[in-house]
Amino acid sequence: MRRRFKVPWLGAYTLLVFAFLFAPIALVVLFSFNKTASLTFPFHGFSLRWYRYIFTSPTYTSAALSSLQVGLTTLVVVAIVGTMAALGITRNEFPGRRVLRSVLFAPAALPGLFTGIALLTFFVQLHVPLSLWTVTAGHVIYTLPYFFLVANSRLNRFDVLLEESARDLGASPWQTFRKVTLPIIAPTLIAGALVVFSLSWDEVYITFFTVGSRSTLPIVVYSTVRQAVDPSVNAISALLLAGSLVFIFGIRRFLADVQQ
Amino acid sequence: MTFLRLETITKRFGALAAVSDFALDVAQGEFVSLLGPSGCGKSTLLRIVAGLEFPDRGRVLLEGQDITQVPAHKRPVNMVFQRVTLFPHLNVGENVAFGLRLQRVGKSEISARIRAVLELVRMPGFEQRAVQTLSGGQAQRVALARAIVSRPKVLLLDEPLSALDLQIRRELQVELREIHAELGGTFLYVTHDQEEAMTMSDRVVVMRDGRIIQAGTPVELYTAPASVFVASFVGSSNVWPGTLVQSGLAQPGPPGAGPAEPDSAPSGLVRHDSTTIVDIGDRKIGAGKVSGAKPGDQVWVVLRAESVGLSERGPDRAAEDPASLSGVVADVRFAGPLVHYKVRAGERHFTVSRPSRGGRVLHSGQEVIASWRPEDAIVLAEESETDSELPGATSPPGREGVG
Repeated sequence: MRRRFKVPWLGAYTLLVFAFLFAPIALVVLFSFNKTASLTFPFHGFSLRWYRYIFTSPTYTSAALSSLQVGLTTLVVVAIVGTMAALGITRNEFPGRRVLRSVLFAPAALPGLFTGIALLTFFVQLHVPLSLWTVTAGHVIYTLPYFFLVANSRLNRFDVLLEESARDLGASPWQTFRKVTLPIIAPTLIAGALVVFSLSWDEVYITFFTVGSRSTLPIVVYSTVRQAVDPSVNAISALLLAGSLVFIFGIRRFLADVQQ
Repeated sequence: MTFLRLETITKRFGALAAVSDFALDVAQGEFVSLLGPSGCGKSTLLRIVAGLEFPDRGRVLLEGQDITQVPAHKRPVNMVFQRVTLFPHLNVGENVAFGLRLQRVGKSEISARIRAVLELVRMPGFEQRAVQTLSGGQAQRVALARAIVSRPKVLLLDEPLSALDLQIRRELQVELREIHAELGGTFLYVTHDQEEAMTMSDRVVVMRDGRIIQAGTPVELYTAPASVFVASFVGSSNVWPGTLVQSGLAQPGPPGAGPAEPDSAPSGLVRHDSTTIVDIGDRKIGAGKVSGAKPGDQVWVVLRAESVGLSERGPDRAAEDPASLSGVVADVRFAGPLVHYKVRAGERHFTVSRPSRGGRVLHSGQEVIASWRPEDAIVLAEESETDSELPGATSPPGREGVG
């Protein structure tokens, strides 16, 4: 005799929770296709005008390009610096190693506000004009711990015997890294890089304090929303949502490679 | 000029000396095994020869050239590791080709050599296979192929079979020996399995705590161990401490083991006055040649389990032959081709291994006489107190009372 325990209304309850979580997002996507500029019901019909608007608006396109520039630069800098740091820390014993590792993890624990204000003060003191480069600097500091965490843990799990095998067979240390270590840890590093890019793309707090004349996309959206009721924001959000989904699946695919 | 010479190699890790004053000459084409318990320094030594570690003192000379400080990737020496270290992102063929590609060998020659070496390790046609699909035994064969394809001057093997199932291990042991014969290369093999070392090697070097205890051919180590450690590490032995009473010329005993004639002289010693006699506390027993001890010295008697014969004890047979003990079968372990008996004689337990001969085994509780040819009982001078902690050493009854 089998007994089934069924909590009554569990299905309905779950649906409610999901609705609460996703309804706002669904509404944003829905209204990005709205024919009129209204942000409330009733819905007036499907139109791509807002999408056309943001792709032709210089404010949005230049902001998107700025975000892209900052994101890619941050990605490259963090990937190189983070990998080197992880290699150095996992392979060598030197005094202060643990301290250095904690210092590298630290910025993740600090509020973005904190880092932003500190950076602003720093740049002002040095008379460095605010620009996309100062934004990039902030993003590098902000995202480095996340990449380092991923790279560090992957390298800790990396079997040193594989490298010794390569050296034994005739590979110099650099050849060993290039032909054995790097190909094997690449999926994790790529996943880490994707995380860095998406963190940078979304970043607002530090960017707010370090941005100069050229804004990044989140800043522009933030300002637009404060100023006026502009439905183009819906379109941007919908696009960012689509982009995030692509990223999530991309990261998952690379991490799946690592699981073996 | 010696092909491979290791000169007084010493290596410390912190305060611990992993290897102390290790010296060894290896001839070209020799198969030498380093045998010893875990932590005896054998793997460290192998890594020093490979160039993955550098000694604190001493030199490694290959064909007369000092390669002690030469880094691993520049040495014509390759190693097969204990764990599978095939590169997971390359397939079998690419793994094997790894060293050759670094040497800029031409593509067609690489394919030809890969094919030849995979045939040699009994894995023909596996070039395209992914490394993850290989079993443990297959993976180690590929690792072996990868190590020998670039024709190294010395091949190092660090317990490559210890992670494999027994059957595969036995198979590969035989194949390694065949591959060695076919290639004619110089192999340096590390293991803690004495049977493995004995069956595969031309010479075995027994190590302990970073030092060489004894080096010789398998037969030499088996029949003439220089110390109790070697005797008990190689083969299954009974080790009894005692005092040397009389050191004699061992005479060949009667063919086959058997009890003394019922009508022998009462003391039993008159007939065997040229045999070595050792007082092991509760008895005086007959033994073989003695080295390095004089009457009155503390010695060890090493008696291999398979050198002892068992016969049923009846009321009309007296056990007067010094090269025998009377006792009772305490335990029987049937192991297929062999039967291992545990025999109790007084307070002493010892092991006897006999061929099972179609299942005719003795049973527990049977009274038996265990006897041996005197020269099969090896007498060794006692070295140190730590010898009594060795496997196979039995504690003597009433040791303090030994005169």
